[in-house]
Amino acid sequence: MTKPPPPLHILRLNKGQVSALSFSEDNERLYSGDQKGYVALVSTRTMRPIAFWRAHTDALLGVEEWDQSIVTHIYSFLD
Amino acid sequence: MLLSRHGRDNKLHVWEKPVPPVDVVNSIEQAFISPQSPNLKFSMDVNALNFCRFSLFKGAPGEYSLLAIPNLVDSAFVGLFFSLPDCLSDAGQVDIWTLTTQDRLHAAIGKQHLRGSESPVKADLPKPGNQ
Repeated sequence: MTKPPPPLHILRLNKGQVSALSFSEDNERLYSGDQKGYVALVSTRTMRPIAFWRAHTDALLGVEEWDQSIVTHIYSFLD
Repeated sequence: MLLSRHGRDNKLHVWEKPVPPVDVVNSIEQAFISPQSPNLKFSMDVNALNFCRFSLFKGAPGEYSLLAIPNLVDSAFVGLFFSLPDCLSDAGQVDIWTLTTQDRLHAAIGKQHLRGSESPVKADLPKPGNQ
């Protein structure tokens, strides 16, 4: 087995374990959602955050860009 | 006790996509503007008691975009989700919405497998362009 390649960048914005990821269709933006409900939107050119907010109080299941909007979707732990 | 949903939002949110900040700024203060929080456009209730992600069909400009999400069951069915075999047999039910107008086009696709020959509820597609 070969060694894993070293990461070019490490994005550390999210506050919980990352549970949802997607690129915009033009690859200019990366969305990451975590298990604490936070979503980070990062420019893939500058690797800088464009937005970071708590979208939900539950864990993110999906985040996706839709034209001029962003769709976020969650799941709930049974406890 | 099991049905307590305290603190859960059970929502699918649609946000305004923020405009990226400009790269060249006039003052150092502007360079440290913290990342913005997008505005919430609208929300939809979802059944969040599973790990089935939404699926989005992005329509061309002026056309419908379609959203598939797990069926939002009424409370009479919620009990099914707590026993594994029932949960698995329930897992196939899907609702399809137009995200543009938030109309439900199809409800509980897959339910006919549970209840015999019942076919999914089908709604008429309203004409686009009223938005």
